[in-house]
Amino acid sequence: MSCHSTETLTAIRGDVPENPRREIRTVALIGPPNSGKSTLFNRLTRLRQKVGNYPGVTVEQRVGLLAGRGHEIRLIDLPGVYSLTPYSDDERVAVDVLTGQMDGLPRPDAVLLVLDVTHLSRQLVLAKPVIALGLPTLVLLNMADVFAKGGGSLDVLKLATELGTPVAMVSATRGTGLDAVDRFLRQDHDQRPSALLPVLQDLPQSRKWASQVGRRIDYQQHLPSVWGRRLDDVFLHKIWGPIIFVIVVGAVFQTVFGLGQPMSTAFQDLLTKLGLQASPLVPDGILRSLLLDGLWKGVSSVLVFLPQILLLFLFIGLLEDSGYLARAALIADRTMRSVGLNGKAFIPLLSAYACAVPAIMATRTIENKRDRIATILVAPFMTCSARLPIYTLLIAAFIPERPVVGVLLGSRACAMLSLYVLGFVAAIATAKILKSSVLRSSAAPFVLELPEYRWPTWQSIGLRLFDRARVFLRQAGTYILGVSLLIWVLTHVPLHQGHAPQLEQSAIAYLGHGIEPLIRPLGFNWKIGVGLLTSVIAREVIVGTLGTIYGTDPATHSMTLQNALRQDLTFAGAMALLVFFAFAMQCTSTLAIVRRETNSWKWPVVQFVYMTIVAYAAAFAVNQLLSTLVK
Amino acid sequence: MLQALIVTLREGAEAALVVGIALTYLTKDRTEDRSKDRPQPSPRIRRHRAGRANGAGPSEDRKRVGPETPELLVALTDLAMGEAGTIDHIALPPGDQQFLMRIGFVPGAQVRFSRRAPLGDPSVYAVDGTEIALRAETANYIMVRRGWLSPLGDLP
Repeated sequence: MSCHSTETLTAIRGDVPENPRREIRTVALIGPPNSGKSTLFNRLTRLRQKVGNYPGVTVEQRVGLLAGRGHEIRLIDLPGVYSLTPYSDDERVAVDVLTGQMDGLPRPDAVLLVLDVTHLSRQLVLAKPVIALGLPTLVLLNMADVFAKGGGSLDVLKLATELGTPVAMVSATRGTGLDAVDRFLRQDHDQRPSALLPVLQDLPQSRKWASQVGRRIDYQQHLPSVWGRRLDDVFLHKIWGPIIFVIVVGAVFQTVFGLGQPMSTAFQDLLTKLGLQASPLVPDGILRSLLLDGLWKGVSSVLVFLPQILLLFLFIGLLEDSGYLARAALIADRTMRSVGLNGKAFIPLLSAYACAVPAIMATRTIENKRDRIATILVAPFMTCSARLPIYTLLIAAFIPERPVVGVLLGSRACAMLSLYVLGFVAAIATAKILKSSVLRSSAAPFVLELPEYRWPTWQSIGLRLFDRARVFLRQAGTYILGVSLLIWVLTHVPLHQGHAPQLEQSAIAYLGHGIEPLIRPLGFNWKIGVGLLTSVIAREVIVGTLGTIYGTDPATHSMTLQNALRQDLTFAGAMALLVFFAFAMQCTSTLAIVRRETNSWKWPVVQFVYMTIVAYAAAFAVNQLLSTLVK
Repeated sequence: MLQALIVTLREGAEAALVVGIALTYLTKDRTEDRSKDRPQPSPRIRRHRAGRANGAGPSEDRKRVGPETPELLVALTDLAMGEAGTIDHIALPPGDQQFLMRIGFVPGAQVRFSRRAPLGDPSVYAVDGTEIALRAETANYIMVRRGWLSPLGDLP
């Protein structure tokens, strides 16, 4: 019997269970990377899932509930592994979960093993150690649709006999064949270890076994579509390849930046209006201030990132699912290598020009942990859109418009360009330093698999977008809320006859005065100091804070913010402030997302300290240099 | 006003990217041709072979192989475009060996040099019905026998 169509062919082993009935409560999902495991997980759980991290390692833990079952069955999504030899963190986690040694997780009662049927000879190697664990196992041969379409075939019954487990052909993207999982979980299973398969640690031996099995089950390799080759001839062409690459990347950047920015602004306006609409519902006074100025502002400062995140991930989803992302990484690798990063870091770093938060979330496509952390640490140096308000304010206030290169490039544009270059140079320098010291010697050679081209499905992209949005809101939201509440409290104590004090008399102004000796050498006064403190939430907050401070000060009350700043800051001080903002890590959202993505406080703290020191040193140098030069 | 300038800036950055890539391609194009018709294996490979033959130089090594099979054992990077070979061994630390073997570069497996990235490196190799890109720094250490001489065979 061979399979030529997408219809399900399930072969169930004929053994009668000898052990007493054991109900299945926990199921582990395991498979090699790129086997379509995550798509299958999303399909099976229909988003009823919890995302976290395994203790102590940067490995994501996903646990979901199997949809539509009588009693609840937990499905654990294990990281993609090629073998069960504890060689990497991923494999250690997989082995610990499967053997019941992982804290907080019971030993699974059954295993779903996902293998990409189009690359069975390579993937079958994993079947052996997994089945040898002795847990009831269902082997799911994924991508059955692609396989059948390309003329591939195999004898499913023979494979089931070879492995001693049931085998089912499925397609996770199309959702076909998944009823086999239901049937498997409803059955009774014995727990005796399979004696059929001696575990061979030696890889060439395992491969030999796999190819022998392949011959015995009449495995016919499917033929990759001619279109794939033709597309690669264009996308990886010596001349057309880079041109298409630039166009695609430019389009993504342009959309995330050009469309995402107005969307964020519109979204923010909407949120502000909502807040104003809601304000009469709360009695005037400290409570309303807490709810609106503290909580709601904090929440909306997180929410405004959503349009950009969703847009970026829509594009990354389309590029990744269609198979182009791997080609883009292949083209970019040569350039990225010169700074010690790999080609997969290109898209995340580029999107950091719009916002570092989605960029850092996008680094997940980088499998190499050290390269990924280096990319995460470098990304916030890229000039993100949150820096633009303070950049435009200071440049407009302090740099007179003068043509530099004819009419094409004025002095203000030059200043803006230099700030972009400054951030880029800092990023490259940091990457070089990191890769030649702390994060040196990438753990494994750079390897990039070029998947076959295929049409992305809306459902799989939609599920991913939903997942990203939820992760961002839950993880970043909690920290941001905390910080914005703290800042709100600092601006509202000490109370004056039950009322909040003027900003100059609040605790934060006191802190601003406190750090004045520290920032005096940079050319900043205490007002800027307060701005620096409040902008720890987000960079653009400094503009609002400065507006409030100068607006309530009688001396500068009637002036515009630009004029007030011109009176209060020297030219050198203003330039120092620009440089400070180019380097400083003034963004709680980014810190929170770094904490989440690296699963430790170490990296966000290192990043914050490093970037602040760089910013301080650079601003100090600029202020000292310019004040001696200008005089 | 300033907004318009920022837009111009961004366009400028993109233009710089295009020019940069074109330049890199042009410079790379020259070095790439040199590597293709290189008559001798790279010094690294020669050193490696000398090690295998217990200090014997490359000439002795070739004698050992036999005159009728010149240059039988080459690095993956020495294959011509479209040429296939059988992986003999991987001259890298055991950890890297394991890693490469698990993605398909197993001794005995057949591998074909299928294409080069537009900027010259990495190169794409077809192994096991999959296309995998490796940098030259890795592929240099994967030693292959030229031609389809697999004693092991693979899945049909």
